[in-house]
Amino acid sequence: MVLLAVVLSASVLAGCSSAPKPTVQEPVKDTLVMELKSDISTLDPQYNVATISGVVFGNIYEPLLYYQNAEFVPSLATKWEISPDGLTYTFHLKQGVKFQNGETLKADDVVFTVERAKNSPYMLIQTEDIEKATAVDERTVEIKLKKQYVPFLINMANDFMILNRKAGEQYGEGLKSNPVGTGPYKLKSRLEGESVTLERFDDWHGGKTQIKTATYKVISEATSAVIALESGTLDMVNSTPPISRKSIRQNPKLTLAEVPILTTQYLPMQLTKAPFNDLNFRMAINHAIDRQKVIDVAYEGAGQISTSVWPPATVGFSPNITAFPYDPAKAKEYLAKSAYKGQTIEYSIGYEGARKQAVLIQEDLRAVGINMEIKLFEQNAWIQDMKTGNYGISSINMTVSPDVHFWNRAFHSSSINTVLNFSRLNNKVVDKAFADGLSIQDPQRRIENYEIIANYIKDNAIVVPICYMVATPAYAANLTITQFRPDGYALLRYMSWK
Amino acid sequence: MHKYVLRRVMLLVPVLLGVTFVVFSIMALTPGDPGTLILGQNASEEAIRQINEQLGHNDPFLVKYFRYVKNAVRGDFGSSYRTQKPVFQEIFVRFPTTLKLAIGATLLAAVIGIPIGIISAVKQYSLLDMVTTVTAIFLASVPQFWLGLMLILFFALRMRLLPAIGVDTYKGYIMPMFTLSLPVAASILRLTRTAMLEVIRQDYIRTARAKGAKELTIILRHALKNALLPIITIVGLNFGYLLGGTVLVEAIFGIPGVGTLTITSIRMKDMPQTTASIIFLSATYCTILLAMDILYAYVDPRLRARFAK
Repeated sequence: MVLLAVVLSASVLAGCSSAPKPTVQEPVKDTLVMELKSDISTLDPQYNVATISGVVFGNIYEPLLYYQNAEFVPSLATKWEISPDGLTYTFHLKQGVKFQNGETLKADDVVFTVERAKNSPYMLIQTEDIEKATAVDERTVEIKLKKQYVPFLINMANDFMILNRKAGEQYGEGLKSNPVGTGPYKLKSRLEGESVTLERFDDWHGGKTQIKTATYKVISEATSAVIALESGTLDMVNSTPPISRKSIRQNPKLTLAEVPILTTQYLPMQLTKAPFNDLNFRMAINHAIDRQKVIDVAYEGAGQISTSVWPPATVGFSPNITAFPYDPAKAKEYLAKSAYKGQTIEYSIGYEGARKQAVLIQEDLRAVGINMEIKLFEQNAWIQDMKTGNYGISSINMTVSPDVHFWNRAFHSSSINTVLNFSRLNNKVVDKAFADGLSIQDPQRRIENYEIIANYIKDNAIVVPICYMVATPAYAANLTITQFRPDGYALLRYMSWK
Repeated sequence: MHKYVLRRVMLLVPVLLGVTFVVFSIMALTPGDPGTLILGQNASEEAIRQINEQLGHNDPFLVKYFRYVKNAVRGDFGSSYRTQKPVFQEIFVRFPTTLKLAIGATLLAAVIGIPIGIISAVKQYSLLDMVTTVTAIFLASVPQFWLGLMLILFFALRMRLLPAIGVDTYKGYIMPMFTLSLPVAASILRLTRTAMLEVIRQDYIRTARAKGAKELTIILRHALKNALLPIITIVGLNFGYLLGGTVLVEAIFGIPGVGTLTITSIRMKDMPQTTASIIFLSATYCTILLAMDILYAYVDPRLRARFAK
């Protein structure tokens, strides 16, 4: 009974405040403990789809180049050239780069990496246009393409990790648990389902990083992760739930960052189904929604109103596209011109988290005279319905590699029924612009080419763009992070304790 | 007794066959395919189709089912679609943690619930009885999620006595065990009280008192022994439940357990992992029920005599 009384009292006292403790000067740390939403599935970069695994092995491996802050930045390649016909890419490798098994980076390692990638079903999209890779000399590698394919550089950047031939041939499939890369960290230990620990690779070509040991702990419950951060058990939480952000901002021992990411939120509409086959109806919806309110209420301010569907960090993004204004009067005008007769439209969602936004949109649409019912489906069933067009309007968070070309999976006619063209858009102008964009090298001309698609999508209200998502990692105030990845995570090399 | 145990072990086979059939049927009825799960939504349709063909996803339901049973008989339960690892490897890595939690929580629940239930029965209608009844109702009603988070807020955040998450040390097990055990203790307490009340009204208890036996001896040796059967039942059933039902607590405390593995594989439509996890949990539950039956025989001489025949 005494035990029970203690436990019950504890839960009540949890709400009481405690007296502030005196601060103590602590020595500079060199360890870091971070949260991971789920366990990693592999440390083999060529047999992986999960972002979580990429977050960890992104510290162990490196690509030839990175795409950061809207530009290509050298990594293992110091420079690269593209042949005039756009078919041959030549990469010049940095000298003196060591793998974690002591081997030195050579062009042959890049050749091996490409050959192995071509055999992986996970990398079909990145490698289907590669004909072959050749080592010209020890530090120069040529990759020949089957056809002009300008997004090739984006494919090689960020996630196309370079492997060591010796390690690859030694471990084969075992690379998933025995990673050998050129990155600043190597695998120290792994407890399945629980944690992954990395330790500093002192022979890294970029010098010695400040963090010596980093542990990623698997914590699926966001609230528990935030409490662990506040109690000092964790040093960083990669994504914070909206309900916790206010208290984190008010906590002087913590920092809450806002990082624009490649994820965009929009509402696809089934263009072949009434009333969504009516342009005036689609325009009415686009003008009826107060996007800023959705961002402020559903996402606690962590978002930016969308202009085109793809975010600004995407190669080919045009700043000339403007957002739909919030204009209920205009929405009512469009609605009056449409064939909508007051029937209830179904807004389908595939997970409970999407309901908050759905309710806000339901309110806005009701205000202009559109009746909407929200229906929650099991996720696999929802995806199946979206692919087969068995829905009216829905909401989706889309994350695509940062080149407009890859949005062909959402808007090219060949993607209907198969991939992500939930709108079932079938338009020759759009298809042609996607095809043309593959061979346009000049960046400005590429932007102008993809503007054709962005304008078509907007002028015809193909979808309802809502916002570009913003990640909200939180970490100890005395931790400095100078760079975040496009997915909102940070590599250890950019972190240091003050 | 040995024959009885052997017969019960052999009955596991049709039970597990039934379980696999039900799981297969439910998973087959829901949409989704392994190719998309393994390669992701952004993979090419061709690659997804190749993987589905390799895994025999498009074969008729009965062909898939009998292929699975045939392989299972040979000890091959397949690999997880999600992690590509052998399914039982995934379970056995996590099972020790779940087992420690379940054993600890059950023992704690029994240590809390049984003595208080006895006292509550002996002091029926007293203030103590009323307080324990109300406390038991509260503990049975309070959501585990809330209880766990409250414990973390107080013991980890305010008092800094225990770690908020993880089971790296023994301290990491304390809060999860309490979170799991308190609602179970409540039901053990109530059942112990009811069982004891029924027994202490019996004639043989009155006879023992008339013979001058000490009250403690009467309660522990005569009354409790006869009230043990339903108590063993509820402790055993709750232990079985805890082995598979700790998902919420695992999520709150960041514990890599079998519960989370099972729920994740169901959500991701990871057929081999789901089937293996449910087979494992079913087999474990059947084993616990068998252990309870054997324990009954040791506690109750009438059952022991029946087995001896």
